[in-house]
Formats: sequence, C-alpha cells, structure tokens
Amino acid sequence: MSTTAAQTLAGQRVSTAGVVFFTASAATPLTVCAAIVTTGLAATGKLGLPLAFVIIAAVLAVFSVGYVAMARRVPNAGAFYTYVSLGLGKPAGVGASWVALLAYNTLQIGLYGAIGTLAPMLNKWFGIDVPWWVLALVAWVVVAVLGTRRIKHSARVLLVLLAAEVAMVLLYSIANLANPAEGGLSVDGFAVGDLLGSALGPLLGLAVLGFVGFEQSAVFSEQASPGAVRRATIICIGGLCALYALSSWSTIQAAGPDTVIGDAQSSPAAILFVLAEKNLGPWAAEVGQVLLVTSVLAALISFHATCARYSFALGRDQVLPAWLGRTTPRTGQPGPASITQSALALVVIIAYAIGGWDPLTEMFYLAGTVGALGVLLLLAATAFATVRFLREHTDEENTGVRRLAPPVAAIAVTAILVLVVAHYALLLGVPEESPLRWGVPIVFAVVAIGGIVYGIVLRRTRPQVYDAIGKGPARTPVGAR
Amino acid sequence: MTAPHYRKAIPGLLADEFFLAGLDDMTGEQRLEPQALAAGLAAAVLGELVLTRHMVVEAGALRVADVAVADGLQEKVRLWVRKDRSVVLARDWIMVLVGRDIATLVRHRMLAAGKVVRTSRKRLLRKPLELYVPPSLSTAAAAGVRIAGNLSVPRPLSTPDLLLAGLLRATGRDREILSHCEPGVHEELDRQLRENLCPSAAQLVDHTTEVLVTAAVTPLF
Repeated sequence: MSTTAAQTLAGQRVSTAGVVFFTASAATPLTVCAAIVTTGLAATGKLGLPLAFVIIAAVLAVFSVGYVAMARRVPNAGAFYTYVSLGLGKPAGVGASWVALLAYNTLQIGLYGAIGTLAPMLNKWFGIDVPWWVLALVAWVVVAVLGTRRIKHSARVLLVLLAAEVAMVLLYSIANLANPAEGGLSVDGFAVGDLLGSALGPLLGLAVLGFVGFEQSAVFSEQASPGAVRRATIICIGGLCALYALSSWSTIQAAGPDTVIGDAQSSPAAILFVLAEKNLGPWAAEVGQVLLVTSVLAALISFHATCARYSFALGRDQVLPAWLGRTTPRTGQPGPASITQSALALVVIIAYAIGGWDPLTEMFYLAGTVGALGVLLLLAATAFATVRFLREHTDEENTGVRRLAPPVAAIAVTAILVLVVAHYALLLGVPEESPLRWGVPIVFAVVAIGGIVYGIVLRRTRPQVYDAIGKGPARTPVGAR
Repeated sequence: MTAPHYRKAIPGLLADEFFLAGLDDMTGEQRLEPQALAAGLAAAVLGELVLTRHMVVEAGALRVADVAVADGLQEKVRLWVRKDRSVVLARDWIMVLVGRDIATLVRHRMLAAGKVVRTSRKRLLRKPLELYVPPSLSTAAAAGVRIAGNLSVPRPLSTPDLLLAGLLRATGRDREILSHCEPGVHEELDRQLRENLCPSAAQLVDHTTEVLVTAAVTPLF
C-alpha cells in the first residue's frame, strides 16, 4: 500500500466545498430573498434590512470563531446541545436541547406553509385548483421518504438547485440595479437611520432568520479537516451576507425607497418576483417561483435532518426515549427519530388544513419568527458556553483573537436577543396586546427551564444517564439499545 | 455444470462470522448497509488480532505485538498498523480499513477458505445482485442462534461471541438476531458486555459505535 493510513483517512474527508454547499442549502438563499425580505419590509415598515444583514453577518463571524474552535474539541451530533452542556453544565445542556427541538421543529414544519405558493402557478399553467395542504402533503411524503435514507444522490440534485437559486438571485439583483426607480441609486437601506428605532430588534431578528442553517457546518467537525470547517463557515457567512444585502438593497432601489413598503404590504407573494417580471419578463418570475418551491423543499429536507439528528443525539444520551437514539441497520440513518419528526409535521399540516388558517402568514411566517427566537436563544447560550469552555481548555492555539472573540460575540448576541424580545410584536406582525406577543417568549422560557429542571432530576434519579450527557458517541454504549 | 466443491469451513474467525451474521438466512442477501458492514468487518478483523493477543487497545490507541500471525489478512492488517504510525486511534484505523475496502478483503478470504461462494441473482430492470452466500444458509444463522440461545438461558457468552454480539449491537443487527427472544436478552447482553468484555474489546466496540454514529448523522455529499 503506497499511501499512509493518514492519507487514506484524509481521502475520506468531506471537502470545504461539500461543507459550504450543505450549509448554504440549509440557509435557502432564495426563500430568504423572496419571503423574508418582503415580509420584513411589510411588517416593520423600515428599509434597514440590508444593513441588518451586514450587522448580523459581522456578529455571526465573530461568534463562529469560538464556535468552530469548540467544534474541533467535542463530538458533534447535537451541536448546540453538546456545546451548552460542556460549557454551561449538563442541566443547561438539556434545557438547550429542548429549546433546539422546539425551534427546529417549528422552523421545519412552518416551511410546509410556503410550499402552498405553488398553487397559483399550477392554476395558471394547468388550470387546476389545488388546495395548499395537498401540495404540503406531497412535500411531506417526499421529505418523510428521503429522511429515512441516505440522501447521497438527491443531495447532488439539491446542489444544482442551490447553484440555480444563487444565479437567479444575482440575475434579479443585476436587473434591479439596471432599472432603478426614479431618482437613481441611493444609500437607502444601508443608512443607519433606516435601522434605528423600534424596528431595530425585529429587523435584526429577521436577519438572523436569514442565516439560520449556518451552524450546520459544525456537524462536519469530525468528517472534515478543522481548516475546512473554519473556511466553510466564513465563506458561508460572507457569501450569504453579500447575497442578502445585495438582493434586498437592489429590491429597494428598483421599487423605489418611498414606495417599496407599500408595495410589499400590498403583494405579500414576494415583491422580488413582481420586479423580476417587470425588469426581465414573465419567464424570470416563473422560473424564480419554481426555484422558490424547490428551495423550500431543500430547506425542509435539511431541517428535517437537523431535527432527526437532535432527537437522535438526545435519544442516544437517553434524555429522550432510548429508541430515538437508534440507527436503522439497512440504511444507517436515524430512522425512528426521522419518522417521529415526520409524524409531528403531518399532525400540524392536518390541523392547519382543518382549521383553515392561512399557510403563508399564519404558518410559514409565524413559525419562522418563532423559530428564529429559539435559534437566537441557542446562539446566546452557545456563545456563553464557548466563552467558558475555551477559557478552561486553553492551548497553544489560543491567540488573542480567539480569546477576545467569544465574549464579544456573547454580549452582541445577547443584546440582539433583548432587542428582539422587546419588539417581538412588531416582528410577529401582531398587535401589542396579542397573546402571542408574550406567549411565545414565555413558552421558550418555560421549555428552557423545564429542560434544566429535568436535567437536575436526572442527576438525582439516573446518575448514569446524567454522566453521559453531552459526551456523545465517545461514551460507553451500555444501554444504547 | 457440476456442483461446486466446498471445503470444510474453519470456524471462529470473527470477521467471517460477522459477515455471515449480517446475511438474511432466507435469501442470502446482506442486510447490513455497506458502511455498517465495512465498519463492522474492520472492527472484527482488529478484534481477531485482539482475541489472539496480537493487539491491545490502550486508551483508544492500537498497539500490536511484533509476532507474525498465520492468517494472511490478519498479518496484512497487523503490518499496516505496526508500520504506519500516522494514525493510532482505533476509530481512525476502522475508517482507514473501511477506506482500504476491508469488506472485499474479508470476502476474498472467505472465498478462498470455501466459506462462501459467489453467485448472482437476476433482477427485473436492474443490475444482477452479486451475492456471497455460504453453502448452506443455515450457517449464516449459526452464530446468531448460538448467541441468542446463550443469552436466553442466560449463560455467559464465549469471548469471541461476546465481541461479535457487541459489534452486531453497534451495527443494529442485534435486533434482528434477537428478535425471537424475550425482551430481557437485551439487558442480559448489556450486562455481559459491561461485565465480561475485556477492556481492549470493549473499546473496539465503542469506537465502532462512534464511527457508525458519526457516519449516520453526517449528511453525505
């Protein structure tokens, strides 16, 4: 054998490009540019979203320094859960895991609402009237089936779709900039004044929602070289930031800073496509809308995998029932965890179909903002966890930047979290006296505290299980059935 | 066409038993997915060296004795581990052996020893399925039946059987093999793995679990 064992091992590693593609497809750029930008403009009535994307990207870049450094030292399956339990103690880890389960499940299930945007197009092309929930159920079947098998080949398909999405967003942006509204190009969108005021929190919260998925890069910390994870995280944050900022800014420029908010409020089905139709012709809007659906489908598959992985990691550590922590011998996938998630999604889709609620605003947007709050909560907890963990595990690689970055990130993320909670009604798009306004943050607080209490109960009643929390696959497999 | 001539099989090679335990004893198809099969076989070959005391696992790292082994495949793996210091951890070696296609090497060893024959099965509209089946499919079930029988009594498993059971548990194949037993056998297997498995073998099982879990939760690209 001419190659050394280390070379053989390196040959099996995931490349930087692989990590970038997976992470970026989890963030679903087109969905963000089409849906979040429009709803953000409509709900907040402010133009500051492009600047908010840049600020959040900067905060996340600082955050990722500690995050990636920690990812190298600990096993990976339940990313946030493992990090919080190692950094802030095991009860906090269980609390984080419950929040993560709630947040990711909400995000994933909410996406089914966006699949319904295909219905008007089906009507236009084929003249058939399909209710949104039929489309959601079709998507559900696809996700449920793919979730139980290794998606090697479909992942390649998703790659092509991702490339098409990015190309489409760039094309729209160029067309937007080539056809600005009266008055020509301006700095509207990037001006600090556009961001300040009561809309600051919601805009930053929406911008975080755009980047959700970037944290998936740490999943590869064992499969890819440490440098690849670091590079991929930076490329993702930088690339997504450039794409989002360009797209949202060019949208504002093309629609006109004075009229864009009114346009967004009157056409919730994405101002991006209205502009594309005007600038490039109907074909561009139609291609974009089809890609939007595939992008949502990609996000559904990706978040489904995340949910299943969390349940799996928790089942393996016996924080959730142990049967969730088993893989299926024929496929090697966390089958029981995947099926449980699919069942939950099915129940919600059926409930919305029976209740007759609006899939786009009451399912997709609501669930997205709820999930974003959960992810922010997790980011804040993880940021503090990395501060403590890296202080206790110093080594020669700990340069000044690595010592300085985690505390800065922790403070910044906490500040954003406070801003978001303070103006949560605006973000949700509900009146201040709506029960959701405090209901959602309180639910997250209760879930987090519930998890912490459960962690403490485990320490008393099942010390063996408590010891194994956060150790991941390195622990002894006793009782791993 | 004359019937193939089967030599008498030499019992007891862990990797061979693992391969056979993965087979469906009705159809002869391999029931373990390729990654799980390869990782299990890699660990089993290392396990053979552990069982013959040519190798120990200390704090996750492999250490091999400087004594030659009679079996060709075992000797090949022993020399790889002996000469190559770029990788030391058991889990890394399992992945290296997977990368060097240990499954094919084990199949060749079994073919040469006459434990399996190569056949192919035609399938509608698909490539023919290539199968490595033992002369009698009941051989495939033998190890599983033995383990299940001993656990049901319950009676202590022999060291090779216990390691085999540990690897089958790591790959999830234990559910099928113990499916007809009382639910208590799983606890019994847990207990025996905890109490009777020597430290080297126990670490080997742990590292196999770790390799498989990491593979299972990582999306493929």
